[in-house]
Amino acid sequence: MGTSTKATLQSFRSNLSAAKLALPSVLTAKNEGDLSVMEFPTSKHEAWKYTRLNRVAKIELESNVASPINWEDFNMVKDAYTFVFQNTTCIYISSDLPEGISIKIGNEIGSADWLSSINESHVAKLNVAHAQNGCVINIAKGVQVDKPIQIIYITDGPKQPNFWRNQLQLDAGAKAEVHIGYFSKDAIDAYSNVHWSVFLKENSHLIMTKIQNDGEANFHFSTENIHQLKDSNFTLNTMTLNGAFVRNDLLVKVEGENCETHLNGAYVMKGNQHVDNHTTIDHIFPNCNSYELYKGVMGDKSTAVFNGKVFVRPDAQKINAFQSNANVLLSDDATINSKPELEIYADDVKCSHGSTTGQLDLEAVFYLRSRGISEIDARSMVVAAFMHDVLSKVASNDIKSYIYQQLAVRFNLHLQRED
Amino acid sequence: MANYTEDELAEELKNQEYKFGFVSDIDTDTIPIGLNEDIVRLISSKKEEPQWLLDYRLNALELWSTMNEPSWAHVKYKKPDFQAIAYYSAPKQTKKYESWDDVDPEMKATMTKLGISMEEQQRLTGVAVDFVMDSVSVATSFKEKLGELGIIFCSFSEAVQNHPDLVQKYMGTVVPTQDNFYATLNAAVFTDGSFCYIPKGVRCPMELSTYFRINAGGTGQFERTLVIADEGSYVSYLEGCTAPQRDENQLHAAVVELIALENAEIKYSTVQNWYPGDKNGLGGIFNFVTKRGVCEKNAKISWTQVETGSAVTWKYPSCILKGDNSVGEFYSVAVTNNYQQADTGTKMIHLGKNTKSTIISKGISAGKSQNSYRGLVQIQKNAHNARNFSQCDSLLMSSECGAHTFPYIECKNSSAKIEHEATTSKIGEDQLFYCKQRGISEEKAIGLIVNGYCKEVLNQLPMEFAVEAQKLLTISLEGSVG
Repeated sequence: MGTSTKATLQSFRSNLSAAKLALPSVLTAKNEGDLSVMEFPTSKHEAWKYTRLNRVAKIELESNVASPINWEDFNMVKDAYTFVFQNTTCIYISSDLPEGISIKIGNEIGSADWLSSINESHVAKLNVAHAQNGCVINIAKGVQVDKPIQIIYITDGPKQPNFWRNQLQLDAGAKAEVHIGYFSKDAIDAYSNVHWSVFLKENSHLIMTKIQNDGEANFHFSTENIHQLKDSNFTLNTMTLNGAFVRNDLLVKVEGENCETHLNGAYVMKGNQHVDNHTTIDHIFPNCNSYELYKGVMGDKSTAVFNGKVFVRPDAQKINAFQSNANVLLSDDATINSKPELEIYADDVKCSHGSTTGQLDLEAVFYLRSRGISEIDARSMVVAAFMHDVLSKVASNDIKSYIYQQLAVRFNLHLQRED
Repeated sequence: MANYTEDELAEELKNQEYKFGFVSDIDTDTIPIGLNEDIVRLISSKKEEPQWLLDYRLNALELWSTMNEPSWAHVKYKKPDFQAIAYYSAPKQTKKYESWDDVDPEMKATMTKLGISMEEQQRLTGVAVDFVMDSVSVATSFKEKLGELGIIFCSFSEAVQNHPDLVQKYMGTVVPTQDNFYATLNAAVFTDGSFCYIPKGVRCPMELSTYFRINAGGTGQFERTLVIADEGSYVSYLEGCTAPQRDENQLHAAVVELIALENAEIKYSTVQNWYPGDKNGLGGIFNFVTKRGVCEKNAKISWTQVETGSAVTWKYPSCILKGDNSVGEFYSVAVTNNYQQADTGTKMIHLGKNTKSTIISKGISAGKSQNSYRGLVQIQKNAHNARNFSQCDSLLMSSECGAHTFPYIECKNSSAKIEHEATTSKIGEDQLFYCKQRGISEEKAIGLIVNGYCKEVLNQLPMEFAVEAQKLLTISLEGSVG
C-alpha cells in the first residue's frame, strides 16, 4: 500500500458511482445522511463480531469494460426462464415468458415499482446508494410458473464493484421456483453487493435457491428481506460453494398467520475463505412454523460464522421454531463461530436450537477403508453423508445435480447424487 | 366448615411477600456516600490494610474512572448513581469477637431468622459458616477444627492480615483488575468477603459456607471471595445471599476467584435470594457479579447456582480450563418472576488438551420477567480433543414474560466435539392435566413439574442446600400461575 491513510467507508465509496436505478424516496430519503456518518463496522458491533471488514475496506474498486462472454458457461439448469447480468448490464433475457410473469429490468423499473423494505445495515444502505441494475419480478395472482426462473449474475474483471437490487413479488396463490447464481470471470478483489426484497402474498408458495459460486478472491455481500403474508410458504436454500468472503444477511418477517418458513444452508470452504451467515426469523403473528438447517464443512484455514436468530414477538402464540447448525472441521486451522439465538416473548411456543461442531467421523472413514475404499473416496463419502440432509432439501433435481457436481470439482469429492 | 378454595390460595400466595425482607436493628458504622480517592483510602485505613493493597485499590479506581458501564446484556434498568452509594457499612463493634458469645444478640437473631442459627448448624450439620453482613465478615465458625488440617477459612480482611503472601500471590490472577466495569469497581472498594485455602492433598471434611446479607439502606455490597485449592485437594463451598426489602435498588458487585491447582477439585454452590423487588418491580438488588475459576492440570471446578432473587442479575460463573484433562461444569437454575430480569450463563474457555465442560442451564420465567441465557464455549487452537456439552432449557410460565438464549460457540480445533441444544416451551398441558385429574391442585402440580424440570441441577447441590433451593423455587413461583 502506497499510502498509510486509514480506509474508511467514505474513501471506499469514492470509487463508486451513484445509483442508476430509480428508487422511491421511502428508500432514499434518509439513506445518504445515514451513510455519511457511518463507518465500516468493527468487531465491536455484535453483528460483525467475527467478520473483519478491513480487507474489504482497502480495495480500490474500479469499473471494468466487460468482455463478451457465453452466459451458457454459467448455466445451472437446462430448462428455465433465464436472465443474465454481466456486471451492470443485462446480457440475456428469455424470450418465451408466459403470461402472468412480469419482469422489469434496469431503467424499465419506475420508482413506484419498488415496495418499501428497509434494512439498517451498512451493506443494505450501500446498495440503495449505488444500485446499478437489477430486476423487479411480479408473479400474478394464482399463477403457477411451469418452469423455474433462473437469474445469473456474473462479475467480470478485477476490482469490479457490482450493486444489484432486486424485488420479487408473488401475488395471492402464486407459486414459483427461483434459482439465483452468483459467478465471476477474470475477477479478483471484486465486490458484489446484492439485495433481494421478496414479498409473498396470501397463500403463495416460493422456493428460492441461491448458489454462491463466486471466484476464490472475490467479496460477496447478499441481503434478503423477506415479507410473508398469511398462509404463505417460503423456502430459501443458501448454497455457498466458493468466494473469498461471503456474507449473507437474511431477514424473514412473518407478517401473517399460518405461514411456513424453511431456511436451509450449506457452506463448504477451503483455503482462506470466510463465510458468514446471519439469519433472523421474526415471528410477528401466531400459528406459524419455521425450520432452519445450516451445515458446513470447513477445510484448511477457512472460517465460518453462523448466527441464527429466532424472534417470537409478544402474542405470537403457537409458534414452532426449530433451528439447527452442524459443522465439521477438516483442519486444525479452520474456525467456526456459531451463535444460535432464541428471543422469545410469548409463552405458548415450542422453540429449539442445536449446534454441533466436530471432526469427520474417523470410525466411519476407517470402516470404509477396511472394505478397500481409498482414503479420498472414504472421506468424500463421509462428507457427502454429512451434507446429505441439507442438500436433499433442495427440491429441484437439476439444481441438486449442479451442486453435487460443483462440490466434486472443487473438493475432489466423488459425490453421487441419489434421485 | 367453609371450603378453602384454590382461588383463595392463589390470592394468598399472590400477596405473599419476601420472607427475608426484615431489617435488623443493628448499629452500623457507615462512611459518607460517594466514590473518590479519599473514600478508597478511608476504606483501606479502616481495614488497616498494607500499602500494596491500597495501591491495588487506587490503581483499580483510576482504571474504573476511564471505563463505561456495559450495556450489551439483555436487561433494562436505571443505571446506579455510583456517587450516591455508601461503599462501607459495618455492624458497629467495640472489639473483635473472641467467641460466638460476644456476638451482638440482635445479629444472632438475624441469623436465626435467616435459618442459619449458628449454634445449631455447628452442632448438627458441621457446616463451617462465614457470615458477611453488609460489608464485613462478622463470624466464622469451626475455625479451629479446620485449622488442624491446615485449612484456612476466614474473612478476606483477616487473610490480608494473617496470610498476605497467599492473598498477594493469587488475588486478581483470575479476575484481573481491569476485567470489567463491575470487577474493577469491586477491586477499588471491596470491603470484605471470604478467603479459603486448602493445603496439598487435603480433602476438606465439611462444606464451607458463606452467608451474605445486605442490611443497611443506601449501601452497596462489594465482597471478594478467593478460594485456593492446592494440589490434590478438595473443597465444597456454599454461598447464600439475602437482603431486606427496600424501595431503592441496592448494588451488589462481587468478585469470586477460584483457583484449582493440579488434581484439585472445587465445588462452588450458590443459592442467591437477594430481594427481587416487589410485585410492581419497585426496589430490589442489582446483582452484577464476576465469578471465574481457573483449572490447572487434571483439576475440576463445578459451579452450581440457584438464582431466584435480585431485580437485575448479570452473572457468568466461568471456567478457564488451562491445564490438560481439566474439567469445568456449570449447573444453573435461574427463576425470574414479576419484573425481575436475569442475564446469566457461563463461559468455558478450553485451553488445555482433553478438557471437558458441561453446561446445564434451566431458566424459568414468570410474570413479566425477562430471563436470558448467555454463554460462551471457546475451544482454542491447542485444545485437542476438547469436549463440550451444553443444554439450555427455558420454561415460560406466563404470556408476558420472555426467555432468551444467546450461546456463543467458537471452535478453532478440529478434534473438538461441541454440542449445544436449547429448547423453549411452556409446561405441557398434558402433564398438568395428568396431575390435576389425580387430584393434585394446579399450584402443586406446577411445583412438581418445575422441580422435576430442575432436578438435574438440584441434584448437584449439597443436601441441605437442595432442600432450601427446592423450597425457594416453590416460593418464587407461587402466585405466578395463569
